[in-house]
Amino acid sequence: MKVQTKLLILIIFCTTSFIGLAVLYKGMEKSRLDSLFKAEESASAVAFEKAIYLLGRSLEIYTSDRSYLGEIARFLETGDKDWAKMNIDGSLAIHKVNSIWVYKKDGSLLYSANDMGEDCLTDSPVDRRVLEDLFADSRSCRFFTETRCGPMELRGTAIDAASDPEGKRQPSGYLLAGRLWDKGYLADISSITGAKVSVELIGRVPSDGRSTGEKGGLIYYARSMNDWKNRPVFQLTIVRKPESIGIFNRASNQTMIVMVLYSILLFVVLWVSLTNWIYIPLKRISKAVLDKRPIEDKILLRRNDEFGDMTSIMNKFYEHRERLVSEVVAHRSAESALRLSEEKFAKAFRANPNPMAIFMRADGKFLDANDAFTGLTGYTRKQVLGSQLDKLNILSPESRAIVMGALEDKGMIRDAELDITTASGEKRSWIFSASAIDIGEDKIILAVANDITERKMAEKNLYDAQNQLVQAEKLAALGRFASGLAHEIKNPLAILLGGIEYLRDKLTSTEPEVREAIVKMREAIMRANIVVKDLLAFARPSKLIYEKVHPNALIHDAIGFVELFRHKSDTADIDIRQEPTEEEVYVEVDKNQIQQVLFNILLNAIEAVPMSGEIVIKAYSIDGSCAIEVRDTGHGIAKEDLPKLFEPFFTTKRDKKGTGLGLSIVKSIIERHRGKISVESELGKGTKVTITLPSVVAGPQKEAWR
Amino acid sequence: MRKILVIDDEKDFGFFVEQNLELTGAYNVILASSAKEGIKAAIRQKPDLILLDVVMPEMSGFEVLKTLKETRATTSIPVIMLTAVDTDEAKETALSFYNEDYIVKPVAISELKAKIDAVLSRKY
Repeated sequence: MKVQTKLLILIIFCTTSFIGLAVLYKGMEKSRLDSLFKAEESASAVAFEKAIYLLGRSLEIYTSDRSYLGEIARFLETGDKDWAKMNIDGSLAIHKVNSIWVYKKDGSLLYSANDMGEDCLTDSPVDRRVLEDLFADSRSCRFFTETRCGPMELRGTAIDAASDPEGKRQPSGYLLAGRLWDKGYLADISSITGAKVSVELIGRVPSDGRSTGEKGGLIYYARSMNDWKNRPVFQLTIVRKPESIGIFNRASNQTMIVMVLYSILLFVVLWVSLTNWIYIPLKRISKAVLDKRPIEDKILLRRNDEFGDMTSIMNKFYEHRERLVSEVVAHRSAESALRLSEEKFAKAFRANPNPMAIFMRADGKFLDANDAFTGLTGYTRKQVLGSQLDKLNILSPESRAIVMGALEDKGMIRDAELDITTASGEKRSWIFSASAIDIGEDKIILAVANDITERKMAEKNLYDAQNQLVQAEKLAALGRFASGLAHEIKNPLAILLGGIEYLRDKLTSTEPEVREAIVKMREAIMRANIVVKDLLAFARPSKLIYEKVHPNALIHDAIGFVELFRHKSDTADIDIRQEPTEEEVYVEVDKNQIQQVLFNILLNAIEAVPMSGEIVIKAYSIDGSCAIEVRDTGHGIAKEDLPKLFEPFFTTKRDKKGTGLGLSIVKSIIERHRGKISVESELGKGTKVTITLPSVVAGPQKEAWR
Repeated sequence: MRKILVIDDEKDFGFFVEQNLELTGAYNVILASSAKEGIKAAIRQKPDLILLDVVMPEMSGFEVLKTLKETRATTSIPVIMLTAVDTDEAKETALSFYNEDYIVKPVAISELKAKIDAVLSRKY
């Protein structure tokens, strides 16, 4: 609940309790008024009864005057109406009696008179039979009745005979005297009692409260007047306006007005004061607290009360808080700058494309390594971070010694080209730089490298390509040279051959020496021609026409050619045997050229086998390549000759017309097929020549070679 | 007697071919030592076969061959290239001009004669 609401409730409570008190006071006044009224009422009653008594006194005296009643007794006896006329009528005005009735002892009316001059009062107001009842208990009576002239007070008495003044016997007659309660009489009552008097018949009495009581400062006093049977006939109402009650009421009303006004004033004063003293300062303070700013209200600041104190305390708090906040902000911005800088460094380190690592100087323990480092070395980050430089074997002990030595001497090493070993054992080339850094107590080494493996590979490939190009150009030039040379040699050879053959056919000499000389000359020419031919084949190889073929087919055909050649020239017992492979391996080669190669190798093998032996030729696949192996049981090749086997013009069989170009041509053809040739030999045991050629997946029909 | 025309700038070689062939008694050999001379001789003499060198001054043997094959009078005369040039390209070029054979020097007279006879027997 808000303070404002509480204050309002408090103010309302105060005001209402004040009003309650006022109402209570008013109630008390009412009871005081009631008692005042009661007093007034009894005073009225007394005054009224007194007035009635006083006014009715003449009538009472009239009906109780013994001497007068003695005369009436005599009148009853005499019945002298003249006397009656003279004495009775005359007495009416004296006694202020309006009407008189004299009855005989039997109740019959003897005489009646009134001062009204009207006959309205001549008739007896009561029945003659009633008279006896009227005086049964008492010798006098008093009652009211309604007459045609208005309400009338009646007094009666029993008249005794003159001989019975004590009234011990039956009355001799009766007397009734009446007085009208007319306007004049009522005016008399009014003047005596000081009240307004009115008479109403019982049947007409208004029921609006004009009974006994107080209303509007007036005091009503009502009294019923009874007939001879004690039944109400009419009501007499006296209205008095007592001054004291009026004064009291006015005073009471004024008090009430003053109290109400005072309560309003109290409300306003309480409201304004409490609002200004408590609510407004509280609200301003709470607003300032909500806005989180110092209180700038000058009125509040100037106040000497608790709110003023609170305001200055709060302002001090805000001042303090402001200082704290600025300190915190400064601290935070410094922190975030530091964090940003750390993040920048970490990112620069991690995302650096060059491999980087940080390790302890003392034991080489890795503190951190970036992604490029782990990626290139093949070690996981976990493996690297948990390990030491010498445990990972990234650097060889020699390289490590170079690096650590330089770091010891100069505190740094720059652009050292080192070979590293990856987790999988692969060798890579790095340009390695490192610096020793002190961070606090820690002496660490920051190492960065540049992986140049691919660059070196590319350089090597470029070098190879250039080399190949140069080689190709050289070969082309050599080819052109060989062609020209061959042409220039072949022409004279042709003339020589033509000339020798002319001499042979034309010569008539039959001397065997001359004939032999001619034959030898011809052979020399033919040998020179073979040399030139081989030289051309070596220096200017013919274009390769590739086709896919099974090695079994190549071997089979080569053996076929060799067998043809052998039949003509050789007689040695040599078993040339093929061991066909069942493997699905194919090569893509120039069939003629490879057959020439195999032919040459087989010829060499045959020539190596002295008298009898075995030559086995087979094919098999190895490491994605196809190998063809020719193994003979010949005399073998001397160890020192093995490296020279493929050199041009190297031969071990000059006497057998070897040109020394055969194996050079073989090697050249194999290399043009991107293959390799190797020779293993042992003197006296035999030789094994192995050709490897790139194998291809798909091939022609499996049966094609058969 | 078959009439053989030898076109070769190497006169000594031509001489021995002439001598060796005529020794057999089956051939009448005409010699021409230049390309132009050879073409004239081919048109005039109408030989049964021509032995043609490739490398000659002024005009190569291939040009001579082309001319002979394009000339009506000589188009049907079989030509055997007889040259010291031993390359695949030269052999392919000659073949493209419809020569009959390609013999690389030096050649034994027996082989030459056999090839000449083979060409002539194919023609007739």
